[in-house]
Amino acid sequence: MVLYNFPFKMKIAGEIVFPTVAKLPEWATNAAYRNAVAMPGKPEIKVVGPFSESGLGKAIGFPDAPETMDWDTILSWVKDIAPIEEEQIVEWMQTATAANVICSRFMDEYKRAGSLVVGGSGDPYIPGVKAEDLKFVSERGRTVGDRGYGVVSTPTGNFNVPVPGKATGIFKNILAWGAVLESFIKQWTAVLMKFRDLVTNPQNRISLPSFRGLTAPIFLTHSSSIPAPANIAEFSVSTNKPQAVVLRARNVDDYRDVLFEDKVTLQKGQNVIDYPVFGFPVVPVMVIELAPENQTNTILDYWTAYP
Amino acid sequence: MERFDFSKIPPDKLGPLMAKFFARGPAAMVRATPVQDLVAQTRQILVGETLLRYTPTQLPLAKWAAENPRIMEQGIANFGFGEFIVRRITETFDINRIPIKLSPLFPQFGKVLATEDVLPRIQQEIPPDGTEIVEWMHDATATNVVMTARESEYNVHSQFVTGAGDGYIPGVRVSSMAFQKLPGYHYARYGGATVVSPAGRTRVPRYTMSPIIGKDFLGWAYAGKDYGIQWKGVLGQLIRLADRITQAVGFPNIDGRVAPFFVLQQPSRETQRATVRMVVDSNKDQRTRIAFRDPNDYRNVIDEGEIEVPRGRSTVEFVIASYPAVPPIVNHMQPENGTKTVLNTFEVRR
Repeated sequence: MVLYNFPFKMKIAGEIVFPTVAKLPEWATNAAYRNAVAMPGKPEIKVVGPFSESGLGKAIGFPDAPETMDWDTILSWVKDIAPIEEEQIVEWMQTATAANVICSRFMDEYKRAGSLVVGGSGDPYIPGVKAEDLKFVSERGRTVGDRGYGVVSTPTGNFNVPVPGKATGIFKNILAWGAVLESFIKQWTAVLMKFRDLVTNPQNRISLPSFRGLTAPIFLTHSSSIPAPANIAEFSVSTNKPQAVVLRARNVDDYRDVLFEDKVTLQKGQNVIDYPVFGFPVVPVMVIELAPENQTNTILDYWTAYP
Repeated sequence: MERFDFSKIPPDKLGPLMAKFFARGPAAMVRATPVQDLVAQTRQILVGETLLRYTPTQLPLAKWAAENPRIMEQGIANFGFGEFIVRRITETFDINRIPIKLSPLFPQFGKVLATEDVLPRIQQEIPPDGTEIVEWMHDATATNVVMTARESEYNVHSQFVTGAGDGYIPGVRVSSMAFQKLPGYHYARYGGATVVSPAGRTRVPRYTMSPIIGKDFLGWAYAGKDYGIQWKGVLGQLIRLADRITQAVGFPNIDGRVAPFFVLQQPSRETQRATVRMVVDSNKDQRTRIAFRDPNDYRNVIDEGEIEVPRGRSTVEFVIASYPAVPPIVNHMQPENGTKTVLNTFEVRR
């Protein structure tokens, strides 16, 4: 048995909820640490190598898809294998397929790190887009286009996703992300991802999925081996261009509660960051959100918590 | 590590941290209680040349069974079941009186157990235009109406995930299984598709509902009609089995093919004899096959039987027994194709 912050399944106001769960170390159950706060120190950042896409995951179901994060390359491959000239192929299917290749690869990389994220892309009008108990509300493309946003419905509330654009759905016990890539008269193409079981201090490379330039964040659990008033998070991020990554530390008991927010400026290439975190009375177990800039290819190489 | 003294917080940080700590309101003091749960460790298996990472189908095993290897080994070897006793409650099968759920994606289509009941309505309301709406999308939508409703019914008790769409592009995938991308022309020529799952590569013949059963994995796949380059694929994966059913759960009927159903059959306490009781609705007389599968390796069928289920609502009871105790068993039910079947309750009484 493993300790988690939330149960596998909950019932809230009559609705069944499958929450985003985080694994907790034994020490986190100590009542004295349960209201701990945290703030960051000044990070040390070193560029240690060039940007590389090696060692990323495979897209199950798409074994012959190009092994790259580049949206245009993947979309162009889809257009080659399924041209619109075919009677049953329409434009949104190509976009959704390219997005599914990226989602599938991200799911594989997240699983490789010992955890679970679910997601997919399609047309929310018909046949519909869902990820476990999250779904895009089925509406016509023109309706969402005119209104300016599509709606993601979850058992604990809704969040709106701009058309086109992206949005993160943060609830007390659910972490999700949605994007709308395009809209036509009836059809529109959306991506929906739900983090089901958060990865703790991942040691394998995880690429942050980017769909038509809209880059998704990654969530992970920062967990030190013993309770300590100071931690160092040593992590490495590879990026194909200079950018400022937003880092938010969230409370494991309520993901809406931001313990601190920071911006980490990265150079092109592989950046190793020594990131001090101070806590009172100790640095709590935290959910870290890393949100890169749009139009970037970003890879989290690893995340280690000391002590 | 040596560069940093973990025993101290820098003086300029301590004040703000303490202020932040004491400023947190009473709402922040209310913390969730950590819970113990099953370990859902990701496992991996080589399928052809692909390393597939997956989460196994979990069983909510009772402590008395999980911690006693004699029950999990000898109990399974000695397992047996008695005669199926079927009692009809009513001959009427009325879908409006059975508390099945609406599709959370498409609630406007009402209660639907079979795709054939909703497909004409979708085709009429959203006609194909050749530029945005094409034929396979109606078929996939009808399937999603049925599947998402069944998913929410099972999820009242545990967790089941489904996916339906075009097996070529955009592709069909659920958490740990996917259809291999294949153009509809080839699918029609070969007469089937291939599913990649923890059970390996499984060929799913056209218009066939295939259980996908691995050592630690339960799911199923259906390959449907082809539309030129497109074709319909449907996947269902059991994330965690239910150990009782207390609210109605329908069996998905896709193009007349009925999906299998899996539930953990386990008494609440250690016993050498128990009774399984089910309440079933069926729209016609049918034979439902039951396979009892080994919880240590789902591929092993310990025993199997067939129940004559009459039209309407019936109770089905049978005795299960074993020594040293009745073990937890995976109960795999398979109604006949072409039927509409709903399981209202499933319980194991000591």
